[in-house]
Amino acid sequence: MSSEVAAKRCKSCGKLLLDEKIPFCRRCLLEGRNKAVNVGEIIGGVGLFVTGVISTINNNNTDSDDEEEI
Amino acid sequence: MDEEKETSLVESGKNELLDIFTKEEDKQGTDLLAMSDFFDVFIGKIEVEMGSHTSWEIYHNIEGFVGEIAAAIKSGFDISKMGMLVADYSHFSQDIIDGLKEGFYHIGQSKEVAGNLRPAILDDKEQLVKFFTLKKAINPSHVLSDISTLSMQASLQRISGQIADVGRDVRGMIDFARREALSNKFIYARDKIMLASTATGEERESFLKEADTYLMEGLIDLYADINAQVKYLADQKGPFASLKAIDSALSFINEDMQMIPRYVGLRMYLFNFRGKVEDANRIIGEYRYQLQTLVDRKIGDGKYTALELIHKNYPYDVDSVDFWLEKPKQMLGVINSYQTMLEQKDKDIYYIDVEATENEQ
Repeated sequence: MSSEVAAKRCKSCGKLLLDEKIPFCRRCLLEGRNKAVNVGEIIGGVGLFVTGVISTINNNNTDSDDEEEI
Repeated sequence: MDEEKETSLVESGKNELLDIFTKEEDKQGTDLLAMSDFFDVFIGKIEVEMGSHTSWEIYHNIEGFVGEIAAAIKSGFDISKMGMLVADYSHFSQDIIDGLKEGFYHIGQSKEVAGNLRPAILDDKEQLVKFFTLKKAINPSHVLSDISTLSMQASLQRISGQIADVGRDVRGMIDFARREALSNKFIYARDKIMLASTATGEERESFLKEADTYLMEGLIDLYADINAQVKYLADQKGPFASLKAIDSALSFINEDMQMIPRYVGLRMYLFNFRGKVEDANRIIGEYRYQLQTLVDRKIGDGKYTALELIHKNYPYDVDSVDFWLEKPKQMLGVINSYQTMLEQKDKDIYYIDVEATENEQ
C-alpha cells in the first residue's frame, strides 16, 4: 500500500477518510472525546474524594484538639 | 371430468407455493427480524416451480466450461458466448466465493463414493470442497423469469445477511415498539397471504392484491424512515455531537436496511407467483432507485451523501471496514445484472445447482 493511500485512512480504525484534515475519522474523534471525558470524570472524582477525606481528617483533628483544651 | 381433475391438481400446486410461513414465529410473531429467513423458503419454492416448467440436460463433463462456471459462482451469474450461467448462490458459502476469487479453490472434477467423476469445487491439494451439478434448460424461455427471480432472491438474501452482520457493530438500543410498527404492514400482508393460500380463483387474487398493497405501504414507510434517520444523523454535527444519538440513528438505519430486502423479496415472489414479471421488475427498479439515491444525493448542508454520512459515523470492526461505502454499490451492480438477465431472451440458460447440506437446512 502506498503512503498516499495509507494517509487517507483513519490511524485508529483504518476507515477510509473522505475529506478529514487530520488522520482520524469523526467516529474515533468522538469516541476519544467520550473516553477523555470519562477519564477526566474519574480523575476529578478521585480528586474530590481525596480532598474530602483530607478535610474530614483535618476536621476530626481540630475537634479532638478542642476537646483536649476543654 | 379429466379436465376438472387436472385443473384441481394445478390449483393445489399453486396454493402450496403460498405456504411460505412455516414456523410458529412466522405465523404468529410481530417482529419481522425475528422471523425465519424467508428467502430460503422462496428459493426452495422457486426451484420446485422451475423444475416443473422445463426439463434440464445434465452435463457430467464440464471441460471447456470451467472459466464460465467460476465466474458465475463468484458473482451469482455470468453471460458469455455459451449463454447465461446462473449459480445457486444461496448454497455457496462466502468462504467458497472468496476462495475462488483469491485462487485457493478452483473448478474441477472429483470422485463420488460410487466412483464416478462429478463437477466440484476443489482446493489447491485437489481435495473436495463442494459438489455441484451443471444443468442446461431444454426450453430456456419457459424458465427465464423463474431463474432470474431465483438469482435475485439469493442476492437479496445475501444483502440482508451482510447488513445484519455489520449491524452487530453498532451498540444502539433495540426499540421493539418501533421495530414492530415497521413490521406491521408485513404482518397484515402475511394474514392476507395465509387467507389466499386456502382460497381459489378471483378470491385468492383479491387477497394477494391486498397483501401487495400492505407490502407497498410498508416499503414506503421504510424508505421514508431511512431518509428521516439520515437527516437526523446529518443534524448531529460538531465536536459536541452525542454518540448515543448517532448510534441510535445508525441502528435504526441498519434495521430498516435489513427489513427492506424482506419486503422487496416477498413482493417479487408474489408478483412472480401471479405471473406478473413486469411488476416484479418494477419493484426491484424502485429498490434500485432508493439505493442509488442513498449513493448519489447530497443531504444536510450538501457536503455528503447519505452513505458517506453513515460511513463517517459508523463504528466498523476489522472485517467490515468501509462496508457502507462499498457494499451498496455492489448491491446496485447485482440489481443491474438482474435487469440484464431478463433481456437475455434468446440465450441458452445453464444452472449451477447445489444440494443444501444438513448444516444449511
